[in-house]
Amino acid sequence: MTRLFAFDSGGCDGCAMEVASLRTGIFALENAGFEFVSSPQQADWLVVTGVLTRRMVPDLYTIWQAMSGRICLVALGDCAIAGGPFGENYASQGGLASLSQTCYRLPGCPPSPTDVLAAFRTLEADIASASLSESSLSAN
Amino acid sequence: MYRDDKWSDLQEVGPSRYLLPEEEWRHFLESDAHRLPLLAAWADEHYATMLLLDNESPVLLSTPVMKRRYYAPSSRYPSALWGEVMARDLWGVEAIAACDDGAGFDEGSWTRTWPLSRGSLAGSVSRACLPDREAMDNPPKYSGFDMSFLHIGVSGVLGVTMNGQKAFSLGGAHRGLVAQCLNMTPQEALRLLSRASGGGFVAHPLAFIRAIERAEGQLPRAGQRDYRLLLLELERISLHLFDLEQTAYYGGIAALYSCCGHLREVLANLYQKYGLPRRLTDMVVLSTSETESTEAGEAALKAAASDIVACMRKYLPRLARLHGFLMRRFSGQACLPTETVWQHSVGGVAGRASGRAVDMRRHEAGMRLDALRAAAMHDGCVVSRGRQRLAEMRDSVILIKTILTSFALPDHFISPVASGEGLGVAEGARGDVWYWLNIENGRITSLHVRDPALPLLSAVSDIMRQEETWQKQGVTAQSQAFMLASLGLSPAGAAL
Repeated sequence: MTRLFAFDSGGCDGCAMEVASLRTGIFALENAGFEFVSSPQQADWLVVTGVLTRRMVPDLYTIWQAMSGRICLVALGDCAIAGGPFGENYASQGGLASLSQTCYRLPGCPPSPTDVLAAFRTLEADIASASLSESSLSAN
Repeated sequence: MYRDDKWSDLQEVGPSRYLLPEEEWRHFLESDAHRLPLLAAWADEHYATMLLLDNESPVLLSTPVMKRRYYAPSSRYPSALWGEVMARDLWGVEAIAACDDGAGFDEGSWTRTWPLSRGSLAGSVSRACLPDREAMDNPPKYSGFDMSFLHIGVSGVLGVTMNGQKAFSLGGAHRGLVAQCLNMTPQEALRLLSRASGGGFVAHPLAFIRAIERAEGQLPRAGQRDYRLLLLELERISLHLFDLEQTAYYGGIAALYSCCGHLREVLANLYQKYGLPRRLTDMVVLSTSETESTEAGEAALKAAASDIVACMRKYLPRLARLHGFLMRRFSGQACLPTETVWQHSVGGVAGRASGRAVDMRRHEAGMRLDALRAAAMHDGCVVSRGRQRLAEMRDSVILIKTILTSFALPDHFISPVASGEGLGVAEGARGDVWYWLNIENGRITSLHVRDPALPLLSAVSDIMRQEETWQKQGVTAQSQAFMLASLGLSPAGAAL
């Protein structure tokens, strides 16, 4: 089971609402091998929604520090990727692209829960195949 | 002065906006001779303004800001506090005798001090708020941290504490939206304001373009008017389902939240079937820019709305039965008292479930009033809010059906006079959204927004400060998320 921690870093709340809907059961998230956890310490992936406001940068940093696994940083929605229509200004840092490498970027305004789940599956498969390649290389 | 003929003696400086000299402004705030409810207060470097309701009609009172100071509306109206905090942080104007002067939006993180002021300064960002790419990529070993800043379950960025010091923090949700919209054309600003809040992808842009049309002396044609009314009701159904879903989720009622979630997704899929955005984003357009493509959008919307009426008629009675049966055990929990709701002018479902029966749709051009049947409730508890949502969804279904059968019904509203200043309102699912703005040479020169989350934050903060009241109602830190979800509270539209 891949454990996800959802973090809304600002923005209009649209993507956060889609993530909230994803948690409530009708999309069979757990059957697909994912679950949301309430603490970053238990999480494998950090799923970020919303434009990154400057006020939230230290909070994001603290959460990232707290994640012992820290396998993956996922930017969900146009704002989390590159700031969307809000961009960068005195209060907004823009998207995660300005701050860190992201493992996966899912565009949309907002992306649907179905698209989000499909993206999670793709990323999971990518990570699994990458691990497989790494272990093959080590064996050789 | 503040009796029936109260406004006639005052200098009218804009549509329903009157100017009070400093002394009279203060007298108004200190006087017991009136009980006009305050919807919002804001200030910039030139004027401080209060938006009041006089027999459900909006009235604006302004006073000049002298030496960057004005007498605080929060001295009389506690719900004015967030507007004063925003004025201080964005324009650097101080409210004298404010009921609270705690931290606001900036919290040391902005790159400019007073970003909207002529005297704006490049600020020094506190070190804690500086991004650090290297640190993100190679973080040091975790050594424990305080989780209290994290939002507690409602969508969005909302730091909540119950220590009696500070109930909410909105700084994390502030994106500089107003600053970006200034000097934009209405068309440019519309794209941004269509994303002001996920709780108002229709309500926010609709209130904005109504303010624009008021400022420019335009009246939408009957078809445009009904197209917008349809959008607003469809958004209402979807958001009510979302708020019911989230409340049930935090209440642990799987049967109810999966039913609401399923139904909301059915509606989103119906929009997609007709080529419309899932959450109706960017569907509200300026009347001057409407072309053949929006006429196609109108036809698609009518087709989707017709299907949604059929769908909701089938599922809504089942949902109501499920809610009545499963939510009964939460009766009397997390109440918003009627007195508090009136004191803070809380609108929307939260207000109406606590006895404040104000619905701005009743004053809209083209509204089919006979469809609005839901009466206000008085318990103000979680269950009442759920019942209110269900009743309002039923009304929305009736209203949509009525609009579809009498689309573009003519009315007798007269075009307003173009004055460059406009006030617009849209009764969204979570309450009344207001926009006040000025336009010069086709560009926005001032803009103030009142989202329904602002009075709600103010009312809930008030209750949270009285921890004993909450404890009596069985509200613990763990169940805050349940209560806030049932209120439909999102900071996005409030922080902007």
